[in-house]
Amino acid sequence: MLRSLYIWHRYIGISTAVFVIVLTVTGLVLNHTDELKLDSSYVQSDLLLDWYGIDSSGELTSYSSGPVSITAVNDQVFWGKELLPHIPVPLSGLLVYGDLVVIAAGGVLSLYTIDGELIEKMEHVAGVPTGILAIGITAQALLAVKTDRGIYLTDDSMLEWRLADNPEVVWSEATPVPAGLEETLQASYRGTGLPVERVLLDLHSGRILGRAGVYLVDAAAALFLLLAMSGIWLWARRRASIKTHHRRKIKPIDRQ
Amino acid sequence: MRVTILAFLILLSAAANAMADGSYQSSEDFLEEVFAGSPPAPGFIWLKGDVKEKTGEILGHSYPGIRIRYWGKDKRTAWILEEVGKTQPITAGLVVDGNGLESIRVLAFRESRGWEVRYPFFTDQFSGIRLTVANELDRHIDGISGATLSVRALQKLARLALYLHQQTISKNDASP
Repeated sequence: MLRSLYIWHRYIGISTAVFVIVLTVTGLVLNHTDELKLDSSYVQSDLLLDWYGIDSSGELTSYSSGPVSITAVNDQVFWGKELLPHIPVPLSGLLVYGDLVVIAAGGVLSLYTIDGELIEKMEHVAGVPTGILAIGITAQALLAVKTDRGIYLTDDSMLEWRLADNPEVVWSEATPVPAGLEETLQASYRGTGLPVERVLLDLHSGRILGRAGVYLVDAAAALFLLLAMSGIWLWARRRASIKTHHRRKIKPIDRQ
Repeated sequence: MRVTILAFLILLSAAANAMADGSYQSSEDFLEEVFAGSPPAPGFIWLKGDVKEKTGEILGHSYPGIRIRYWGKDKRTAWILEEVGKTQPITAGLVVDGNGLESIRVLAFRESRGWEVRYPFFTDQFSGIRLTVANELDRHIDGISGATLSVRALQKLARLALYLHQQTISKNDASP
């Protein structure tokens, strides 16, 4: 019985060794996510990106105005070739308006400098109409936004918006993606789509292999438990056996 | 008995999920409440030069934007600011007056953990807190286990609102 348990203990130990290594290493690294910047480092391996289904083959939406062009690749927006953080999708317009660049995206307006620095994201609390569908400019150089409640106009202070009755507006319209940019943006999209932390978390939980991986890690955890229990039991049995053996050896001396 | 425990756990989990992600108060309602139904027109702080530098020091990164909107009346200012906890921005409404931070309230919390920071047992600690000369909070804030990053984000926002309030006061004092 004891010999058989030893054999089982050994087999369980060998078969769970890989899991112990993976769980220990990923756990150790994940404990230092912030210091190692795992949430802002991205996986570049095509194999892993394909495994996660991070595909950049979706439709690209682009707007251009003056020297500025922005393009949405799925849920990411690029200013030229640079990723533009803090911008929701879908894109619905772009205007260079005086010294400002106005982007309508995700139903709200965002103001940028001409160099691409975010000035302010203007939401409802800023008095901007909600649910913006398009932006444009009137002949009087007023900024116009189209919502399902009508067209609102404002001047360059953007403090007050008034509902206008059928104004003449030149609306910002989608343009073709600038030449040569499509492949660059698709590569950038894939390159910033999968944080290293996500992969490590999925390795740790087994989710990298889908539902089956989770069950595999569950099974490994059950084996760890068996390993600990059989280890303790073997140790206790061995200790008891040594004590008995020792007692037998010293008993004849006691009798003398 | 088992069924009761199971039902309790399911309800607990559902309640936790419901609280884990959501908007608790709109920005408009927050301002209406702070200014008793008549919020003033907004003012702006431009993040340039020293203000930009100090803001970056407080947050540990540059603020996403170079213009911050605020609402001020009778030397009392209200701010709606955002800071990322772990991966998602936490939106907070803050009110500052001459006695320091009057209140801080979580308006929207989008992270999956740490939403306990919205409760008064935590936010009440900020009441009356001020800035030291080194732009640190002048009192210790007790953290919450499992919500370290959310706690840190709100502490940063409290420091930022207090610092920006000082800038509005000095701006107004400087104006003729």
